[in-house]
Amino acid sequence: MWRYLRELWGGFWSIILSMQITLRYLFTRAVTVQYPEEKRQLPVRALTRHVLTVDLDSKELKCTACDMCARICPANCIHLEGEGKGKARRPKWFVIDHNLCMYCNLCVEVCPFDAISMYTGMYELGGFSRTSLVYDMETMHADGFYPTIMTPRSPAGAAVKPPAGAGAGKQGRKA
Amino acid sequence: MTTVNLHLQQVKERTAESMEEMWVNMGPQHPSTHGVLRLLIKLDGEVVRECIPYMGYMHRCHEKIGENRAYVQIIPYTDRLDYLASMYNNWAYCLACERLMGIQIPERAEYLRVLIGELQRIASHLIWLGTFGLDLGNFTLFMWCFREREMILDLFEAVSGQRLNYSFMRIGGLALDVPEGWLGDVKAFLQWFKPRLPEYDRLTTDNIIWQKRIQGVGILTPEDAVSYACSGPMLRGSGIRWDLRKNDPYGIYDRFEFDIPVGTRGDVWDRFWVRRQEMEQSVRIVEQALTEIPPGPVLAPVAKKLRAPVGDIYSRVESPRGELGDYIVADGSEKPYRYKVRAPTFVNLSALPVMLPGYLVADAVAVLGSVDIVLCEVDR
Repeated sequence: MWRYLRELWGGFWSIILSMQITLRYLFTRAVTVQYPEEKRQLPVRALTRHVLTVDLDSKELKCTACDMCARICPANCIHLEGEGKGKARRPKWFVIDHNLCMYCNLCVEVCPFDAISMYTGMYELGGFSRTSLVYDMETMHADGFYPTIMTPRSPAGAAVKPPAGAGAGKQGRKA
Repeated sequence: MTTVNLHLQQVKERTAESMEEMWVNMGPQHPSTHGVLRLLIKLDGEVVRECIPYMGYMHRCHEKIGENRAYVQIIPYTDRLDYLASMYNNWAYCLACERLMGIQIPERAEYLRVLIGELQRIASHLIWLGTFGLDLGNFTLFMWCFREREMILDLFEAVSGQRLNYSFMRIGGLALDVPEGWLGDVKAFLQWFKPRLPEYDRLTTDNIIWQKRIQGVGILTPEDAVSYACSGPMLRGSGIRWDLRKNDPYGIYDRFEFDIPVGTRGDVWDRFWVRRQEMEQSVRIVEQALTEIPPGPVLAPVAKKLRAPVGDIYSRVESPRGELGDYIVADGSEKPYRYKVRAPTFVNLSALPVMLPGYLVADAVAVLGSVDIVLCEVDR
């Protein structure tokens, strides 16, 4: 009988001890972010929707349709066809099926021309049909500057926009 | 005795039997089975007499997919095994490939792997503690553990760009170096995290209700644990000091000082306590790695098209759930000839039938929670 009462009191007391510490958290700031109203700042490296980067001067795609990204993609979600020979070779059509994409960044790492980027910050990709996640060349055509793995970075981590006329140089992995 | 009487007697016997014992399905959609696991439980009133776990609802042909992919391409698939500790899957696979191909990875990559791996262990144990608390009705703990885990995920997102399936390790090192100032963020996180552990203790260890709920439940004897080939906190909770980081050091684990917590009785409490203390030990390892980390490259020079020499390799790491091993048979081509994953949770889960009998249904939830299963890894 006494043992039962003692255990009862022990359980009651440990609840009070726990509630004490829980109560303290009532007066601290909430750590949650109310998503649709407020959005958190994504880190530079957040892998989001693909973009085909452009040469900032001529506004032309850097892609040369070398097929490296399509071959390394584990999910086989990149499809493209090139036209032209030598330096004039450009993709005729370029499709990425984001239903299958695993966001592994392998296509970006393997690209020798810095032509594809996933550091775009476009992550709200919801749609009402399966085809809404299949992106073609026009949708993925970059409208400005997007950093990639090879883009040089400032010490603070922000991507440095190359000066006009610099073109795509090989700066090594800096991201 | 006439045939009719015989039949009646049989019916009576059967009814009496079914009054005493009853087979009940727990799962596959039960909220506390942590995924799609079906437990067929024989109940005598409220006491579990027998338990048969049925797995395979999430089978995705992981190993067969691996046989049709090049060595680099398998890395994103390994993330999807144990999605709560993706870094360890990457690590186990990359380590196997590196040993098979004879690649020496740079010093900084080794340190970063240990650092990231131990952070991942903390995150995995946190999510285990949180969901285990949720199983036992402790909702506050669930919220707190997820808060700290989110901070670790933020760190990983800054490094790899992903929050769950990182695909961060490569054969020969890491995909990228950590961004500048990231190591300082890790230090700040540890400063925040260390005082949180006593807070969890107030809710769990010191709480008599929590103690009464899990002490002496789901006992797994050391003999059973060994004969069922359990590993990780399951084995250590039963009192056997076996940790691959000490017993078969991979990477640079022989350079760090840490203890291996072990239990004494092998009940749910011991498994909880082992994981709770492993978090402290992981913090110790991360702190040591932070002070010793050297500068340098993070990726060894490897060929674009990786070909492994003919041969086979079994290599294992100590994941938060136990011994995670990868077995690769190479035939000299770009793809592995055979690729096998030894999933720790699959093996640990097979010891469930010896742990459950004799306890109540409510305890079955606690025992199942203490195994720390991830069904994607169990079924592969």
